[in-house]
Amino acid sequence: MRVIPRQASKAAQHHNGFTKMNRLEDDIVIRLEGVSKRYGDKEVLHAVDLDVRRGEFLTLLGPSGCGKTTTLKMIAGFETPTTGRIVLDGVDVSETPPYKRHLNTVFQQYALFPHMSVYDNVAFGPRTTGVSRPQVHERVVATLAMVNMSDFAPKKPGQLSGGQQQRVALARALVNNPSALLLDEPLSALDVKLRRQMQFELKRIQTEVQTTFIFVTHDQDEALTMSTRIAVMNEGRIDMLGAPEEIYKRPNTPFVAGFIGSANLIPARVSGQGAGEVRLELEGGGGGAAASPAGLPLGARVLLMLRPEQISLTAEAGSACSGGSFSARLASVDFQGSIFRYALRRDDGREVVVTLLPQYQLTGVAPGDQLTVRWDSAHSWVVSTD
Amino acid sequence: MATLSRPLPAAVSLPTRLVDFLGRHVITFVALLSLVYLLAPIGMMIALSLNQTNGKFDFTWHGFSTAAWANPFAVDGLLPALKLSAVLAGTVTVIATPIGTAMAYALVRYKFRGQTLLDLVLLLTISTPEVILGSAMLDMFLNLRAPMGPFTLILAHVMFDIAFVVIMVKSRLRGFDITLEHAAMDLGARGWRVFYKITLPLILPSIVTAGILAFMLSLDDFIVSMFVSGQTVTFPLFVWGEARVAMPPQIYVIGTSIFLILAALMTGSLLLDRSRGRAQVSPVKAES
Repeated sequence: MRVIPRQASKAAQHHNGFTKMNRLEDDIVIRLEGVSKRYGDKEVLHAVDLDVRRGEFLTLLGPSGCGKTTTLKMIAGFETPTTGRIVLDGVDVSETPPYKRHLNTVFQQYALFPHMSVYDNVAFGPRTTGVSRPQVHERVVATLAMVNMSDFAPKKPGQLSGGQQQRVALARALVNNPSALLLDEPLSALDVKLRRQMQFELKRIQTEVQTTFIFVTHDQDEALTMSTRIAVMNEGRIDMLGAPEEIYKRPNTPFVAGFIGSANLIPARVSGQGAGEVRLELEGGGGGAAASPAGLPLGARVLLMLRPEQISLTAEAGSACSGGSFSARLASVDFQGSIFRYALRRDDGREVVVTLLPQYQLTGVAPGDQLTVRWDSAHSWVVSTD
Repeated sequence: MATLSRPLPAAVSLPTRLVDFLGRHVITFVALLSLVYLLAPIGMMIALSLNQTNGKFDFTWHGFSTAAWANPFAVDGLLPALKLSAVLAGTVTVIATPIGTAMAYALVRYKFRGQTLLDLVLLLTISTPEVILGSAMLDMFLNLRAPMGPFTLILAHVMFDIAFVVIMVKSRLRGFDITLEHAAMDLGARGWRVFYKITLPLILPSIVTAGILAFMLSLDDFIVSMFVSGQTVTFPLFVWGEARVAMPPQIYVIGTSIFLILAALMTGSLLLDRSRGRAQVSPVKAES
């Protein structure tokens, strides 16, 4: 079992990293190779490949039933892959039981031991793995301090609030200094305000300990706020893997575009090609240039993705110079505090949503008016539908 | 919403108010009546233990006396019978409780062939009339030429006690959050350590309760013991034998004592369970 000094040596290795030929290999903590999972007739995970980099905050994001929790359970060792391999620190652990994997989990409902004090909960791991008595104490104290729970050491979990239990669960896992920390929707039981606070707290702790976090959630805000990288999962596959900004700005499938943030997805046809962008003719009228992935053939059926906050709205006709436009009829305007939400209806009946900051709100328009929606090609994206 | 303030009628007649009162408290009355019904025999027993007796069969009240309480073992044969029953019940409890707990754990945690059959057999053990169980066992022991006595008593009592222990511990294990075991495994603990450190402490109250029940069932057993005891006289068998020739108040004294000890044990176990209950992690809403 590895103990604390590992991270120090790891950091040193990073500095002279170029002298090592296998640096890249070394930077992978966990690798899934064609991992699938089948329950009876139902395949819930289809041959997933995934590299988890050392020290990153990787989020598995997706709706319920997408296979994210199953993936986490297989990494932890509570489930065995039907096919494929799971490699942890260069060793195949596909069949290794959980107690032999140098990983720790923060469970959704925390699973704190109700009959033990906070201190004993946190000390359970080190004691079990045979850490010496003074060392156990030192580590438990240090870890409780890190999560700001030092004053609660003698309390029982039942005497703590949800947020405090969450911190203890985190400490109990981190005290073992695992190769990676697995978090299974740990914030879902908290109320919105506390959840927000814990997101930043988790991020702070992750930055501090530099442990690899693998975080499972169905909440896209949570994923965008905390992650180094996000793996968007859908129906047992990873649809897209990338940095939050990349996923938000350049989704590769309609599912990713729709699941992360809100998006207007307008069916269109490619009518011209350029460098890093294409010309589009929108179904139902309008068109223009939009940023796109390479290799879209002329005539391809695609979706134009326009984020509600990145398009503008005017009462005048005409196109923006570096983008495109279409017209639509205003259906309703809602004030939502920090923004105005304009719902428009195109001639083919499709709804388009535009959000504007209050200082840009349109004056003198009423539901039923014909308006022009404009986009800048830099703030648009073409999503292929195949 | 309907009207918020309902105007009260100026005057409500007495009968109406009475009916109203009864209507609102009918459940309380029924509950009190059933409680009286349940406690009456026990009250009778306590009263008779304090009776001043004249003859051999004294079921009438002659006045208050603590004579029987002062000399609870004054009746010949009572003390040996009671000691024997206590030792028997203790032995049976020590054997049946761990076996029953292990069986309950296996039945809840693992899937195996014959699981349903085992569940059924356990249920049958409880639901088969004791007279039939007893005579069947007598038949079996006779055929096996087993010497009737303490040995056969232990075998017979362990048999029916196991079933009760399994059923009680099983219900507790069903409500046990398996992720606690997963968490312990995740933290590096293997099977035995997980059970010893996590599962056992958390199901201990139900094991203790099951143990008390097992002890009482054995101490109390008459029918099965009657068949398989041979020359051995347990406390219930002693009372039965005694009741045919005399009914000394000492028997009520012992009965009352057993009742009081049991009541104390049950209260204790309830309090223990409640204090642990308070320490339980407050259930948070599942989200999946």
